[in-house]
Amino acid sequence: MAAEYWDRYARERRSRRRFLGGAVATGAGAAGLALVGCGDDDDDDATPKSGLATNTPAPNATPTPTDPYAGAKRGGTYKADQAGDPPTIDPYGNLSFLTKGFSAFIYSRLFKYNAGAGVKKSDLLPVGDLAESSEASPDGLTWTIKLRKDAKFHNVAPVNGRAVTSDDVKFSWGRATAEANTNRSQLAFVDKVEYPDASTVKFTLKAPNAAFLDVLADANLLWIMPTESKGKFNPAQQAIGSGPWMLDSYQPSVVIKYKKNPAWHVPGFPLMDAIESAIIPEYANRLAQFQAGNTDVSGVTAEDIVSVKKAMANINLYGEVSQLLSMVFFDPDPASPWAKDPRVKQAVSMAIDRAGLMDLGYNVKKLKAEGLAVSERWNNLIPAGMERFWLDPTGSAQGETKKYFEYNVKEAKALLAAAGFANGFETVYQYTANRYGAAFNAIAEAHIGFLNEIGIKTTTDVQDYASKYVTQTFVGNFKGIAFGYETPFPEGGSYPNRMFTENASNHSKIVDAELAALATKQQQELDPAKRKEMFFEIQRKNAAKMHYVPSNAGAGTGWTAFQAWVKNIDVATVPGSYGGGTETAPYRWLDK
Amino acid sequence: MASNARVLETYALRPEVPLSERLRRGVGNFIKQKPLGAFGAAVVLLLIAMALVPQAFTSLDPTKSALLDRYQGPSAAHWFGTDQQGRDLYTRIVYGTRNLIIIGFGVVMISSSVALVLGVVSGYFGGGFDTLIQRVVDIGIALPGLIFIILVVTSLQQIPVNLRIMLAVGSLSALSSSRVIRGASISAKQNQYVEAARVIGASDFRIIFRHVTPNVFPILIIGASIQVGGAVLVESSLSFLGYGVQPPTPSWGRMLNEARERLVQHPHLAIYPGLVIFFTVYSFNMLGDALRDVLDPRMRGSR
Amino acid sequence: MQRYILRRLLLMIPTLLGVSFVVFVIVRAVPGDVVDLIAGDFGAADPATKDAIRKEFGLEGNIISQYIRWLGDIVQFDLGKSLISGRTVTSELSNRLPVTFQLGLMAIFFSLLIAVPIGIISAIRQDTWADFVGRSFAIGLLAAPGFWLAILLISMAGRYFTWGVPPTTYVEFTDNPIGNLKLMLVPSLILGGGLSGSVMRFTRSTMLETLRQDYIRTAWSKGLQERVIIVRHAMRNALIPVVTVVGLQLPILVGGTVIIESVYSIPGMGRYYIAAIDSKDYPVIQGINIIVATVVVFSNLGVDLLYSVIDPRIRYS
Repeated sequence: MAAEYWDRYARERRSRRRFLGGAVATGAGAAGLALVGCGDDDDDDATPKSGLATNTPAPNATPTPTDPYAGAKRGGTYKADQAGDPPTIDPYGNLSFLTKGFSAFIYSRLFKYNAGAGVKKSDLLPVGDLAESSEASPDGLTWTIKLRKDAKFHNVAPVNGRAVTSDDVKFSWGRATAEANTNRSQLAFVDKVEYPDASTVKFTLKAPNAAFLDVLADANLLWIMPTESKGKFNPAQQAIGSGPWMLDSYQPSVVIKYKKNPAWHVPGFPLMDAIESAIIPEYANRLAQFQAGNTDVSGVTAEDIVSVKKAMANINLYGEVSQLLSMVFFDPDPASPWAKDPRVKQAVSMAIDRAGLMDLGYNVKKLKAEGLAVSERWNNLIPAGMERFWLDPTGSAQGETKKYFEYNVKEAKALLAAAGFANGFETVYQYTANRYGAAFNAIAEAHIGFLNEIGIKTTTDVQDYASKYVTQTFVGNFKGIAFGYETPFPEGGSYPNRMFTENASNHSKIVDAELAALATKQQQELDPAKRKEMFFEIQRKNAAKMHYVPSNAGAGTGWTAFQAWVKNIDVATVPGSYGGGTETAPYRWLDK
Repeated sequence: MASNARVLETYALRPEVPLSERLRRGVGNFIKQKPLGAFGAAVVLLLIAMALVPQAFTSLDPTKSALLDRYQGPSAAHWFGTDQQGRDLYTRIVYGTRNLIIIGFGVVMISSSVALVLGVVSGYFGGGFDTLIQRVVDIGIALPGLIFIILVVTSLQQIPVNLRIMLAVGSLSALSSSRVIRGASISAKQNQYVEAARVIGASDFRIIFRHVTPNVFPILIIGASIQVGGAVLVESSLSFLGYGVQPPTPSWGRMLNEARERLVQHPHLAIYPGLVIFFTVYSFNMLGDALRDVLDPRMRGSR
Repeated sequence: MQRYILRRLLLMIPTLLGVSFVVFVIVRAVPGDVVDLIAGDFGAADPATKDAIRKEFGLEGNIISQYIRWLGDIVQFDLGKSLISGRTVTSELSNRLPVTFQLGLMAIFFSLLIAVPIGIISAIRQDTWADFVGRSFAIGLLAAPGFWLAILLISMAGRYFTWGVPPTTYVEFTDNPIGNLKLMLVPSLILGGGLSGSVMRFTRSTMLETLRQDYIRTAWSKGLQERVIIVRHAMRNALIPVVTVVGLQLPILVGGTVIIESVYSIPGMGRYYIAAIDSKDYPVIQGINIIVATVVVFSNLGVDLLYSVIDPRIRYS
């Protein structure tokens, strides 16, 4: 059964390759290189990605037989920007998205996403980067991965362009699962790894995992580093990998310069010669640089996008929905009002003006009026950007629980009254304001009004991310109502796993047998259609009790602007995966 | 300058003129001679009034959001426009005054009292006390100020953030002021009637209280006004960086911070809070300068 | 004189020890273990991971033992490694210190350029229009928050006059002096403007004081021209406190440049310091502190010595 699934997947891949026509096996395109965060780490809602050109809807997935790289000019230096330094350039040194994003230029993974011209977001699947092929045993417990023979490290001493072998994978796996590496819990489902020969790696899992290749493609988890990085050189100072770009120079707090790796295992790419990413912390400055023509790409807020476009006629815009789930969550105390009656949580959900939030955070009304293709989807328990598994909370498939997503203050008050709180109650409302950026802060503040409107009197507690929020509130150690982002998992299964099974990061310590069982089941379900239906069921069941109340920070379109001469801007990879350096940057070109 | 002497003697030193008359003439002279200082004083009084009774200046709620009214420009209904949550900007500025005034005056209280004690003890008693205290002061001066303040503000989370800011800014400011007080104490100690008092057998405490401290007071007062101005700037910078009072409480510096990414489209969000900070700091400084011109004995004298 | 210098040098030691210890303790008193921060979302609840991190970064043991270990390293000029970037603190600082230093020097220069003439004129023409306008201007520069001016300028430049947009990246003065100055000019003007208020005030008050001295009155009565009096007699003495004020500005600069460096993308120490505080990068915070404190203490000594050069009446024993 597993073998069947993977055969079909492999077949689909091959046929797509044929259609694309080029020698390129995997996707091409231009990724929003602007790794623009609002100056903060990880869960950032303004990370723009590459995307569609202006007023037209997304191209549909019918591949054309023409080569999307015909006429591409080679060479040139791409001028990009980013909001901060990568805290460290050692891929395993820090969890920051800036480090991961940097790693994607220099290092390779075993798998990457098949981003490419015309590939729909919902069709993005892992394909081999350093891996040439992968085969699962019939029971799904053993995976045998063969490395490409032509993959080489950068031609820089002391590695000197030698071939990538399974020894390097072994070394990297060691770093990924080291005790001090906090991400190792995500790899804990692997029982053991064996290296039968120089180009084969064999993984044995504790249980079948539908998302195994996604795990290997996750830009957060397994970067393949050369064995020389222990002892022969210091990866915190020198970056030598097998990726499409080599590190030309890094001036801390000034600029990162990459140059193309002529020996990259995807022949003919990258198209450009070099990338310069200037480190500019202030948004106003980044925007000014773009407007002055000093940078080729920059992230623009939804407030500014219209006037920027009007002032600069020749630029192209790309909008992309990030995969970011914001949620209201509740403390696990059995004496709290919501523990006594689930209608309290439903009431909270109905007090949220989700359409208003879309406007507040993403300027939907104005952008629509200007003809921009702006997404109006709302987050469900699976964020709107995760097209593979997202269930439209306003659609018919949501069923009768759809009503809990509607903005209805009267009904919310009625629910509260029915639950015994006709006069509301008092509680603490908490969130962190020094992590996720200005748009998130505005939306978090707006919820104060929503809660107050239905009679819940709140004392606001704005918490410091590092010392209070992530160490206590985020892991369920708090009193009252909290609001925040979930970690942007590239693979959907992590959401129900974290939220409903027993683990340290279960924010509300939810113990719901049905949902916990579903969470485990979906992880092992290898049939994509069946798995999708399970996700839908999870979202419906959550909505029935509103264990976690989805809100719309992270649901809308983030914008990136490109100067007219940047081509192939419409190739995108999985939002929130930070793999752009490998999956999209090599396929851009400059028409100058 | 002669005019300074005249100001002082006109309003302070003629006991035969009734108090109300003295005050009236004094204030009138002050306005005439020191127009900038008078302007500063007027603004300061206005700000204090706003801090004490904000309701007298605005009837709206500073924290109630109205998403539909977002980003409106200045109008009759909203003098300074509305912010990203639809709140009236003028109202938020008025309520933000409270924070600022509390911190400003708190800083001066802490700074003055600590500086007075340290400076007088150090200057008057000298010896071991002096050496020890001066070492501590050296340390305080060598600490990079804003950083120390940020460190203090981000720790000590049990106490409210305003108090943290007051403690941090106040203690640093106290250390550098204490040097000046120490100098004045040393010269006061050399005064003849201090010697005379000692001869009679007056206790140290009495001498300090009766002779040293009064000489030192003018310095404190002069510094106070300017210190408030400085405290306002520091608080704005802290809030701008994100360390000050947290939402939804209004804070001018924080309003500037929130305006950063929105200001091309909605410049009023940055212009008004910035202007208010400007006028506040300017006024406190001008008032302080005028007070110094009038009170500082070194500034008077013939010309 | 030599004994004086020696005594001052010796006194520096307890001061520096005091500064470093105070910061050492405060930084660790900030709630939120750096270990929790490094551990992040996934590891925050896992004690084994946190212990491993603690060990890797030398954060075990109580405060005193950590401090003593750090002192031992400092004495050998080893400032340690950044907990976050893995690079040595020395290398991080050697990149950034000269930049802030340059910014600071230019700021002080501009503040003197603005403040001293205004201070002198304001003193000579006390309570006239020249006084009011001049003082308003200088205090006005102080009162306008630098970060406010900076963000307004850059945003408006981007929108309306793109020639006014600062250069994208910083280049070193030695590599490209024009390019470097193009970037540093406006931020140092803004910073200098902010400093000029207090320098102006000081200059004015010392000038006023000097003008009241008897020897000036003598010069007047001798019939000397005003200009001669000012330049020959008054200014020298009035400049002494200016040196003090400049000396006092130095520590302010390290903290005060933070926001400007961030807005203009200048790779200086102020900005780096804030980032280190936010990420609780203890070795970096301590390293910057000890260096800045040393600079301050030495420059105070320098200023005091400068006094004795300028004013022969000042003698140290």
